[in-house]
Amino acid sequence: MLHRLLRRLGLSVVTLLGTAFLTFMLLNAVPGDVARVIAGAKASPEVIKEIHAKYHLDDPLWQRFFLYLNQLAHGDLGHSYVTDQSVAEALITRLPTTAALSALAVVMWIALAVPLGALTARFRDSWFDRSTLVVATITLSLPAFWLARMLQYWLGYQLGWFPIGFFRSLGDLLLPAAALAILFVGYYARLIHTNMVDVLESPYIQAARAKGLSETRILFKHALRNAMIPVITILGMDVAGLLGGVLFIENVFALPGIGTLAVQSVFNLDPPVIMGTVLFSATMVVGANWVVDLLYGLIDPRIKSAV
Amino acid sequence: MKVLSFLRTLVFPGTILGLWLLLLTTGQSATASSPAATSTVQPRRGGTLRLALPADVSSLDPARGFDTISFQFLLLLYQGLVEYGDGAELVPALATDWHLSTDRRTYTFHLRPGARFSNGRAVVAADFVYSMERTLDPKIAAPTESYFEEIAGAPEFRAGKTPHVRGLRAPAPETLEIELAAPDPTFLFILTLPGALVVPQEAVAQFGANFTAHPVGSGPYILTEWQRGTVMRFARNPLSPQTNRQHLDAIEVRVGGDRTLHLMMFEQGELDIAEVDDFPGIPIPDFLRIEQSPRWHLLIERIPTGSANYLSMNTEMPPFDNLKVRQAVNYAINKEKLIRLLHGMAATAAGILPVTMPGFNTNLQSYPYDPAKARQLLAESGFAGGLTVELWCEVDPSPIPASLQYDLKQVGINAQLNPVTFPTLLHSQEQRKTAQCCTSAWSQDYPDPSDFLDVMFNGNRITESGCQNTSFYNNPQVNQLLAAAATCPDPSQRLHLYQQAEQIIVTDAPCVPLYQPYSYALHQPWVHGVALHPVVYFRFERMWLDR
Repeated sequence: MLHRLLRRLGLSVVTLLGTAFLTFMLLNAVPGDVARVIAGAKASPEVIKEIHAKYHLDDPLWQRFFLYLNQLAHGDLGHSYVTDQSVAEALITRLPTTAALSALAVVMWIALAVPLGALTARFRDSWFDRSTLVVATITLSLPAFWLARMLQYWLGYQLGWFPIGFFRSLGDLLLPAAALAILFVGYYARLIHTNMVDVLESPYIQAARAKGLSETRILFKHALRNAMIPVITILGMDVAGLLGGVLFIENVFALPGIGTLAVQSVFNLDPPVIMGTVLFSATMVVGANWVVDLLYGLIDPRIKSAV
Repeated sequence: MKVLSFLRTLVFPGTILGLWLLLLTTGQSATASSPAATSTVQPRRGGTLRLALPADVSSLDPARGFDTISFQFLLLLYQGLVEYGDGAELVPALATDWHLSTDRRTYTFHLRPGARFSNGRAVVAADFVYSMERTLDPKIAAPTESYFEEIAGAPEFRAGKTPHVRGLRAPAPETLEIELAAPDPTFLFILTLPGALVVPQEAVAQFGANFTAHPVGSGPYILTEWQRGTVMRFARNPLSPQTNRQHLDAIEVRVGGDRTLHLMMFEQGELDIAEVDDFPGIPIPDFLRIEQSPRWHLLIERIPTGSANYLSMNTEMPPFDNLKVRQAVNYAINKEKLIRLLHGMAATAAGILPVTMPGFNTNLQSYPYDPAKARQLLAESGFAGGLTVELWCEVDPSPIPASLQYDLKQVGINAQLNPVTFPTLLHSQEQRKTAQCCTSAWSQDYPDPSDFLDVMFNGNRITESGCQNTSFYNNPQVNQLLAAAATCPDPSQRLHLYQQAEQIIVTDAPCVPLYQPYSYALHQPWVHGVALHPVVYFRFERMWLDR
């Protein structure tokens, strides 16, 4: 057990180092002088030279990478070249908004996807199943930024049902979270549907029916639990990789989260912040893998015993 | 075009040039005060002005913030010796008056008694010495540093040879002397830049690099809250005596979102000004709707900006090392079409200088739209069969690059667009022999022709990288005229020299002057004092609310 944990830890460190290396190298392959970003379009060549010296921009790439790693090892993610704010501080202050938005979105899409998936499996090939499939396909095809803007425009601006931007209270997250949830709910409903169809045809469900258990009890107590095992794996990865969707949603709704920070850092060509947000995202993915492994064991005792 | 003609005939000669000449002829010794506000309604005190920005201001430290957006907020917090009046003229700020020595090298300023920083300490001349030395300090790498290098002793200070700048002296607490290495008619304008705003040494020492988050100045407002990426709040500075610029109790700036969101929030009444971020002030897709809206059209303020957009051609790279090719490109571009594509949010440009600039030449000879002439010139230069060039431009939804590409195609130039991010575009166009041609823009730091002509077309300023002469244009005759104008004591003669230089540059065609944008402010009916300033644009400290 300990050996396996250590192995996983080692792999996680390698993954994060690889991510840091690739991001660092790609960032430096992008044309554009960050000194110009820092000093502005009108800075003199002397000032540009001073900034190059200050941030070691003229040092060999490998040397700068090891300097960065050394900094990371001391828990320092550096400072934004544009605002001079500590990257760690920027991430920490923005994390609660992103976490709250993501959590609310996950609750929304699971709360919708589970009953939809279960019921469409139970009433397979009915009009309800078919229309759910159509809606699911549509939501799967929607671009995040478009959906967010449409919800904002129609439900917020035209109808006035929701605030349209900025974060003042948790209520302001309802519409953005709904936009994020809609992107996933169709996919999860279909995923649960497919798993449920398999499970509902399995012998132990036939046995439960033969024992006279109610359909509701069979569906939500016995079948759903097994159908959810593969869903948990994907959910873990999706939550960790949620930053991709959050990027658009946060920007459209002007939410001060990590997604907004990531987008601004890319437009500003602000390497320390880009590195920080990428590493944060990678850490989330690695962490989610661990959590999924743990949850797997809890949901399916066979997996636990195998470990 | 009507507005442009109006500005050319009335505003320029009547106001800007007049005030500018007045400054240079008599203004070296001034005790003028700002003209009274023209509004007939009495300003009301109170209320919070609600604004939004897409991203945080880069810095609230005057040594570090130099973009248009930061500058507007820096002026809430800090003051310098002089400032702009209602127009491009300079008026006293923390200096009550000043005079220039007979050799035109030393300015002596007398400070306003009673001025205090927001930490309670009196502002003294030594604070200006400290603040400008801080701007010149290589460790700070201040974006405005190069503007202050002309102070006597600045190069030695920057090289670490002297602990202080010889030309910055405080002989008495209320007297400041600034000695220049050579006379410079634009130096008072340089004192309006962020690098000349005064900060107290003890506060900078206390907060260090984090001074930006704890600004201490003598301006009319203080920063009460700054949650990065979320909100900035300013409140009236109780120690500032500038009651005529403190009508508002507070200013709240929400950070995030784009122009479309801000306009929606504005229309819902949640913001007092639709956009304070940058030009043009109203999102282009919504501009016609807003302009034609009975609800909003009277609440739009408009001003020609001190900026201009160009198509720069690298004169060191073929085929643009050939004058006829450059002239052909100038004849090929349909500028009226560009204005239509911009919904009239800009004026066509004939020359280099914006219409607001002293020395703007209404009689400049430039190249009209004439595709036949363009084709003829290309044939004469050996490109009768056409040619292919790479046109660098910024990745954005602007219709301009595609329009340029189309116009060039009509005369036989196949311009392949190379859209890149703004930092990449900047880097590439400033790198020698890198970008064959590119879209470029320049906006004034202060209203003087040198800020355009000397910066962008002086061949003596060409460097291998970081070169703002993006056409890498080098004409010794122009260089001589620019050098003569830079030190010319006679203001009208000086402008004449700049006009001569501009005419030669335009004839040599290192760029196509495309258009000069207007800046707009769309505000709620209860917001007053919004009048856009030709240099600073928004001056929030002069606004007031009546709801």
